Amino acid sequence: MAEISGVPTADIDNVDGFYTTQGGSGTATTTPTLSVATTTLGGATVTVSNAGSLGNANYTCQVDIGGTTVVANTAVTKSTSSGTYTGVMTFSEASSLTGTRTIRVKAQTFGDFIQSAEATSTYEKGTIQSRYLRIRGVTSTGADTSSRLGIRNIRFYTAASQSGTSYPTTNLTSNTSETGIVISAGHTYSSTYAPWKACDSPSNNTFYWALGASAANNWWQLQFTTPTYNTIPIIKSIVYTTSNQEANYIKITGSDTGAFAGEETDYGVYYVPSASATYNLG
Amino acid sequence: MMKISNEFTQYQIDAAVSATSPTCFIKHVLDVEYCDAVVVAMQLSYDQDGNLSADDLAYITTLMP
Repeated sequence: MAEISGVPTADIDNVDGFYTTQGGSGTATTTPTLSVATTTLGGATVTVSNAGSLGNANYTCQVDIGGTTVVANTAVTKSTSSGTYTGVMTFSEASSLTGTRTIRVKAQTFGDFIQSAEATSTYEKGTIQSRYLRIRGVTSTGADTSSRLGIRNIRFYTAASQSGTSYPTTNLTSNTSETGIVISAGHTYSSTYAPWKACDSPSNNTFYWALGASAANNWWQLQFTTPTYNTIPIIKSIVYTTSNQEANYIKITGSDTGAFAGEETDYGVYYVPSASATYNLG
Repeated sequence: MMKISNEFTQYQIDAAVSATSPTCFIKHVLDVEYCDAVVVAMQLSYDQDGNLSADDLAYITTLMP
């Protein structure tokens, strides 16, 4: 304590057992360095690049827009290996607020007295607008995988937080039952698990299931056809419900030609780890 | 037909056990060892009311540990 009510305490240090400093110094954890892979609809995978040198560290991670926290530390999934945090953190962010998102991360290594300084990274939310929208089962790094898709329900929304117009606008009864929309997949196990069943009534227990898919054909697709959609809808959020899905991550890509031969737009890799759960993306 | 739970009938479960193995099935349901073949067999059996096709059985076999 250097001062009391503005009066310096240096002259009374160690007088009658009164110490103005307690010598409580300690080591502060090194500031983490961040590598961030964001998704178009919000959310990201944050990797602490120097996690190896931080040792057995715990992390706090949150996302703010201005002064508002839109992803709390408790909502961030932190990967572990043998009971130790790996420094890889994943979150999904569905806020409808506009503006720059700031990811704030601090680390504290076991044994250090003081938490690290804050490391930050920023990102902006984007939108999806492509004639062909493809969902693919991938690994955490975005590589194609044969780990099967299982989609009970998927809808594409024109506004954030699963609002606005949703596509398909009807509960499908075939791959082409709605004018202007064509559903397809790289692999279909049987008609029981046909691609359109990802967009039938959400209350049904039916789903698209890519049983037996290879890494190359493990995808599901929605196409907006002309002339119904001469203007392609702008997508700002998605609801995605899994059912017996094996892939922990999906990648969303878009193409205006349908070729997906390198011309496609990458809209990000999304963490959807539960075999049966609903995820609000964006 | 006797119902084992709100989800599965005895017939459906029997078909899934037959398509996999009793050992795998028991280990899976007791959460001792995850078995994807059991997961797939149960879903297929449920959706097809226990009538698994030759293709189903062949595919389930590929998932056996």
